Amino acid sequence: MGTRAHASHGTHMFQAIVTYAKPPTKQQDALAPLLDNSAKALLPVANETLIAYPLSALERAGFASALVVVAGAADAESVAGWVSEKYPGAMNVEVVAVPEEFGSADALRLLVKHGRITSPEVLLVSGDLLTDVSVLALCATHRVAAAASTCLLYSRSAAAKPNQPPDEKAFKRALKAQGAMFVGIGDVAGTRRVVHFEPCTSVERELDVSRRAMWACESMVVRTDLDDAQMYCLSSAAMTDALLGDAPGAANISDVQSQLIPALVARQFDNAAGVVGLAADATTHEVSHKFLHRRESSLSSVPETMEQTKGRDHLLRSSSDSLPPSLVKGSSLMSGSHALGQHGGVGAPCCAFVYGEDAPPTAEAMDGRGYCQRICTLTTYAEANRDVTGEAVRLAEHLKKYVIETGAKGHVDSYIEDTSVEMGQRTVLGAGSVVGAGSRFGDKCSVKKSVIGTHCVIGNGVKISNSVVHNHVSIGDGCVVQNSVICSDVTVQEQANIRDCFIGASYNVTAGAEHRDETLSTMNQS
Amino acid sequence: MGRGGASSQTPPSSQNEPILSALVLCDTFTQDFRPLTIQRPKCLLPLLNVPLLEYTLEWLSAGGVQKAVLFCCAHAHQIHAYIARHPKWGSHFVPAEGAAAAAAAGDAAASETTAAIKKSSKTRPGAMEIHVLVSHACKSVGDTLRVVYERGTIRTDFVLCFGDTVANFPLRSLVAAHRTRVKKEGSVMTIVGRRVSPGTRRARYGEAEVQIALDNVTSQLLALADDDNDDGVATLRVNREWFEGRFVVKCRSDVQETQIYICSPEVLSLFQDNFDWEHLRKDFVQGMLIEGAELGKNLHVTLLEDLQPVPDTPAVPKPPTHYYACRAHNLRAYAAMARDVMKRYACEPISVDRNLLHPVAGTAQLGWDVTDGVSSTYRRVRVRGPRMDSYYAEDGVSISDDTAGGAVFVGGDSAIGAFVGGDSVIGSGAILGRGCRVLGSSVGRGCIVGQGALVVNSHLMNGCSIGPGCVLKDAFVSEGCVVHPGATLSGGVVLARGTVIGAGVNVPPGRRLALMLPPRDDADDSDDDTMGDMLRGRAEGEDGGMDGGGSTHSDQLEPPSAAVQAAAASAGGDHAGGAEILREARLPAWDTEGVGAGGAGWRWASWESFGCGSLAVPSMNAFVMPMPESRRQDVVGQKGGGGDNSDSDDDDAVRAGGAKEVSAAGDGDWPFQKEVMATFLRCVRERFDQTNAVIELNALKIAEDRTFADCARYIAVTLLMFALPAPSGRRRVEAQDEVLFNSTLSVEELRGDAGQLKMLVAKLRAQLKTWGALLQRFLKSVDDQVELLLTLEEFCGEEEDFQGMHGELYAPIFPHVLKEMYEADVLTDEAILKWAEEKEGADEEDLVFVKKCAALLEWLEEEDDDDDDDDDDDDDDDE
Repeated sequence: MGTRAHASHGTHMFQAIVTYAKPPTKQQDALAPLLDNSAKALLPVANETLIAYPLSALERAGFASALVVVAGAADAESVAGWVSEKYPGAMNVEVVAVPEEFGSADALRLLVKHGRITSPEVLLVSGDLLTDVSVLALCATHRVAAAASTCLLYSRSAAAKPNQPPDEKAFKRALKAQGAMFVGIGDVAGTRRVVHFEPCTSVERELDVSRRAMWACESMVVRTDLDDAQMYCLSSAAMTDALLGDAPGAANISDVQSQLIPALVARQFDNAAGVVGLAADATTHEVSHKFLHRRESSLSSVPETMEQTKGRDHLLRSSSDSLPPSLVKGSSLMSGSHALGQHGGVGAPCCAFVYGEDAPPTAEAMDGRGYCQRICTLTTYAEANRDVTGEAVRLAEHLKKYVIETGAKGHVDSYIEDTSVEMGQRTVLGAGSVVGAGSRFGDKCSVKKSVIGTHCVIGNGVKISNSVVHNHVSIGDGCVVQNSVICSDVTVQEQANIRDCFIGASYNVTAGAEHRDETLSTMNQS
Repeated sequence: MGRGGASSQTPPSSQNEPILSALVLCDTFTQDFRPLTIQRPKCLLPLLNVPLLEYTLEWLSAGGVQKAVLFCCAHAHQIHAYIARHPKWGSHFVPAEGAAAAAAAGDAAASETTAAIKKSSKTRPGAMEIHVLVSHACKSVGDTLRVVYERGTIRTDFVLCFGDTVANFPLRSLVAAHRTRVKKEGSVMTIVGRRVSPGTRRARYGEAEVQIALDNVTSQLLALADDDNDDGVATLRVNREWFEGRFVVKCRSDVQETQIYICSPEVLSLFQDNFDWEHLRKDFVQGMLIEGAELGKNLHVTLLEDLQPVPDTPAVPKPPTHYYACRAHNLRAYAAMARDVMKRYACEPISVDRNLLHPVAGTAQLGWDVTDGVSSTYRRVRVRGPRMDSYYAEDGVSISDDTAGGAVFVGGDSAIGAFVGGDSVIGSGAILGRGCRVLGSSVGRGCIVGQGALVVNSHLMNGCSIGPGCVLKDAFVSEGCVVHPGATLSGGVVLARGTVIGAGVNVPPGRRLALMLPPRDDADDSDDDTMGDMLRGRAEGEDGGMDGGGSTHSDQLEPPSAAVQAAAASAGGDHAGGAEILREARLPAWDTEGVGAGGAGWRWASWESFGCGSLAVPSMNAFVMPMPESRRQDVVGQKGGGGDNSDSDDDDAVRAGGAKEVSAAGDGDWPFQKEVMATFLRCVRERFDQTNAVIELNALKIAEDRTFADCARYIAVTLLMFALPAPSGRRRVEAQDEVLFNSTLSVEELRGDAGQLKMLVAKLRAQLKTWGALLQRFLKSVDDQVELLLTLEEFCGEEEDFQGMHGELYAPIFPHVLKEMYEADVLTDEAILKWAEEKEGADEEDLVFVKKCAALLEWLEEEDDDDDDDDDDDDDDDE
């Protein structure tokens, strides 16, 4: 009950930021073939732009506004255009451009410097996240623990095959997966904390587990089956200190996942920094109350910044003035109970929120397990398209407006945007298929578990399965497309056979061509 | 006698399971208990009047062990004789073969008894057979296991444990689980662990840090890190490779190794193959972790907490609520185990009043020989009074409790009105003198505790004598010791047999004394570098290896007869005579510092694992994390041997260790000042109320032998500092305390701004409101206040002791500071005026602050006059 009460007010303390900053170097080219012309935020997922998903998650959680950070001016402009013209939600969305080479932490730093961080807590959401997690529960966990950061983690193995014991290969794959982390989780003073956070790739032989962490939590687990959803609650003060403080290396922090979070995790057990986090947190308690009122009085979060930052400065000062009694609200709880076991106090915790383990997934979630997926590789993109039309269909708000055709056993079969879709004779749309407006099919086509964009022209006898076809694509007669992604304005001439391919925008597939397991784009065509 | 060899052909039990054996190591190859273990094996050392071995055997027997092999090295003869005569074990005793047979034969009486018992009693089916295996050549656990292998004594799964283990968990289910793992996962050994938090383990059981990594699903041991540097600090290295076989690895620092192992017979052959393996943990476990994977052999860990609480035998009416296992690897663990048993933490069936065990303790010489075949007969007696308190009394102790306010204990026919509590254990025939108090202690049979003596957390063996008015805290007194009246033994004093302590002596804490001379230094220096690990073997074991000129293998290590005579003389009060006897026998003089005039005993070096092995209650320091990584590297270079490792926690270390910290030249009074600040800051940080703060600071004052004013000075300075930025450089405070200071403004900002300076005053006022009363408590007189004023002067002038504290910011507003303190009744006008008075005629530079205060002084004087006037008026009125 207490948690729920917290949650209902929780989001007021939080400022939602959706980020499309530059991913760390190794990941950046993964989606390249799909992004030839457009910003990542505008990538269609089941015929809806990617950005709509995190925004609708935030709206569901009760946020009234969100800041969208986009790297690169051009991209930002197109995202802003989308927001002003096509954004279907009711939130007050503002798009901010940061330089192209900026990582997510760089972007945060910039926001702090410009006084754009106006709440005591920040909810940072990676723009490519599709999830039905209860954002409120995450925020509540964060607030209850007075945490410096709270990470949303989800179990990869559980999502795969729950009944089958994982084999040797699965373990090794987990180690090599993109963005795989060694996550150490342990209980300290009753909170489930992230006590270790290190990318698998940066570990050659041994993990660098802090002895303080070992001492503090007595028993911890180090896991490789958890993925970081890259949705974080961050205490503004702790974040500011980590990014702009005088700790060595603070200025070099560029990415949130691989640098900022590990830094905060390490600080928990490092007295010097940890306590700063605590004190900062004590101040945010006070700040937050003040802000609650302001927030409610002025709904538009944008133009108030100057005044607010001033106010905050003042508050910070006054709160450290009133010395002995008012200090260290949350901290006495934390350091007190463990004073025996630990040398001095403990820093503000970094909490772990493992989806499906820490909080029950939302009621409508399938299999009793929530959905979390980041679209950061071609594979995950294809998977996400399938999931959104299948098991995670609750995420796709837009599909509710589609014409839903129900199959034989009452299962949802297919979604058709509107009546402008033309179907040829004996053309069959199978389970989990989506077709956008204005697309035309020839005769005897079959579409299974696939997404077809708007204004596509599909010839006769075309078989499409497990694939994603973007807008304005034309596919000639007799083509077979399996497990592939075809971007906008692609022409596939007749009798082509495409399997396991990613085809970039405006590519021209010649007649009768056979492509297996290839990535094709106009760049390598010319 | 021939049954030992035949046992391997013993037909399997009805369940078609191979028989379960146990290998009990009765020699630990360590020296932590010296000199208590020179004359007897550790496993026969009584714990609450019952030999340790008794606990071990009872547990094994209850756990369904069919064959227990006692491996003896030193003092084999005593163990042999003990078992042979034992009313319970003696009937299933299979005497040692080979080397020990001669020794056994020498003890004709024992053999006869055995034979008699064997004839008379039928061997109960399922009862535990006891074999004694003797080999004097063993120098380590590894040697032991190789001997066992060669002799073929054990060929089935076996429980490996030490003869000083106290445990109550069921073995059967554990063994069954082990057997399954052997088949499925190639396990060769199950290590039994118990969950104990690292701080407790260190402080309570005196153990070094151990960290383990386990497979989360199978509990397979992946790594075990212990204190590689003998500093009690372990560093677990989590290996990336582990994750190629699993998703989740569990890392724990809260597992106490009970040093009980369920082993497959393969363990023996592995030791045989690796002839250089000596230690179980260091060689075998680490070796298996490295090579085991290739051989397909794994080790597993089972925690007692994970065992299903199912009673092993239906005969046990009340299964224990939780399981317990611990071994006495040093004296602190011994004391902890005694507490655990007394306080019923190590619960059924080993509680004292369950009387399951045989109190066969003592020796023939002292008149306390083998019992008549019955278990001990203790009762638990509740003490009437406000607190729930109790003690255990053996039969033959008569008790009357008709007096209010505590138990009245009448032992024998003397003494009335002793207070016994804290779950003490009192053996029969003990005599407790009038007005003596015995708390949380064990008192052996026939002990005499004199009138008015205080015995707390101590262990008195059978037949020792404590004189009137003695104070014993955390002491161990062996059989036949005599402590003359008024002596004080505290902080882990250990007396071996027959030692005499002179009247009124204050024995230095931690002193170990015996009637035997310690070995010459060169005798066993060879291995003192590896003392950290209980399992590490060494050339000379704890129990054996006195350099007794060729008598290494003799069980009969007795003190020189001259020493005994001398001690007897001393005990009888003839000290001069005793000294004379020593001289004649050309023995060195007694350790007079330790035993005092009228005492008898030589000093033994007390070796304690990283300062945690003593009987004495640990300092709080021991709960503190040993050493932070960051510091460690800095310190390792400077550190000599690795003894004091806890400088991570300066304040605690200094508090605990007294005035160890030698102030560096030019540091002035800084060490003490730092202490006061640290203590006070802690009070503020943890929001102590004033009473507690007074207690804390008072403790510090006493510990450092300072005056009240000394404390007050530095408290006041700290209060002033709160309004300033946190001190920097050498004066830096603990990072966690920095937040208590004003961090928002820099020194420069403060300096420039008159308004800010006013604010300082306001803040000071707020501080004084909270802590003024505390200052008052520490300022006992006008002179104290003057002292404070002088300090404030130094502070604001940033003189030597106060450099880097930014005190000069207060210089311009010095009068205001005084005024605030005056208003808060911290300073009286009298004191301020006296201060000014004292300064009169001083050098110009010393008068800076007085001059600043001219106006204030004037005002005060007026005030003073007014008061006087008032007084006069009053007087007038009265008249």
